[in-house]
Amino acid sequence: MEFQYAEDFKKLSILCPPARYRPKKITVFRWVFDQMDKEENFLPPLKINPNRRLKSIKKEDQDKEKCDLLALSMFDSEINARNRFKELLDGTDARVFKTLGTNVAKGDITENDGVNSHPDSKGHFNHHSVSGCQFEKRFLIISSLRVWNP
Amino acid sequence: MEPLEGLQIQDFGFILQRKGDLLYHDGPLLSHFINEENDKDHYLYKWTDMDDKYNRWMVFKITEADLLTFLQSNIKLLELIYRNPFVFFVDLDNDLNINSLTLCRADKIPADYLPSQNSFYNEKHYEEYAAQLKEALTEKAISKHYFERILAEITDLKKEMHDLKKSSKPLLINKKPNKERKVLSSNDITSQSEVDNVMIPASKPKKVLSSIDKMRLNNLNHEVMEDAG
Repeated sequence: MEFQYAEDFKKLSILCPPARYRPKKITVFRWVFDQMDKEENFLPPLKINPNRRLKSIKKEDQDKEKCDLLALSMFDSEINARNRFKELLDGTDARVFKTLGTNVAKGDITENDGVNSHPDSKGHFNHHSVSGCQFEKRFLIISSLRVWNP
Repeated sequence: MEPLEGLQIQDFGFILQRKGDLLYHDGPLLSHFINEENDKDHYLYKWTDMDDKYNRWMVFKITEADLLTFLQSNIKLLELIYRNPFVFFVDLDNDLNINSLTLCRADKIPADYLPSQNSFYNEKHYEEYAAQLKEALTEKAISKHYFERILAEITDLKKEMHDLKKSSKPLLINKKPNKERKVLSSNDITSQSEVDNVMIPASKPKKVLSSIDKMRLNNLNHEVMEDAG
């Protein structure tokens, strides 16, 4: 399996993706912007310019964060995707639409697309993809994050 | 990005160290920092805006007590911001270099950059680091509270001892009951056995010191003598 960002992984002092990540066939949900062809929709955070980072002190922490930021954030259900967005919106302000997205998109990933972390208590997990997944053609917007009773 | 009304400055004048993230998704949204030279100086970095070159962060100071109050969900993030007369806005490029740093009056913060009226801390929504920070600050606050109580008690006892010393009435030591009584001042009390025999003499009301009072008296007598010497 040749990961899309294999060259970036090699520069890190830790194993990336972590050994516990596994390939899996699953229906997933992801926050995206209004235009599905917008490049940022399926770019990992570290590849978005400018990326939203802050300095860490330890190199190990920096590399762990970089590894996470080379993954795509996914959710295991639409409700989990919406709930998590609402939590962050409540904790910050309406500007988060600008950096996090405006819609929930749905798609299917397979064992051939890459590896995933185990979903956390909020249904969020990381997906490290292989080259050529073309997710922008495989995901569809299913609801708006600006509307809370779609 | 919103235009900012404020004073352009070169640097913070101190070095901030990232301790952990309170809100995070694909990168930090709200992060906790401390002043590298004074770990009691807490700061929060709140992500506020971006354009095609920079991410903008609002940086504001927060007292340890307010930080704990916030983490106990008793105060909103919005109120924390407004407790500062000024906040900083820092625009960082992709390599985390500062492009601009603006000192902005709190009442001039663009409305869109302020958190919602519902911006209370919620442990379930925040990162694990927030819960750890809350625990650490709670322990620290409890220790401080007990230390202050002990300090207050020592101060009270010292005052009590001082008042006793100033008292014109002498203390009697009942070394030889019913025969002869030696008249001493409190400065003469130097051992536990002597303390055990101390009584407030004759005059009214006649008070016999408890064993705890006697021990305190003895300890404080030493302290006062040390202070004087």
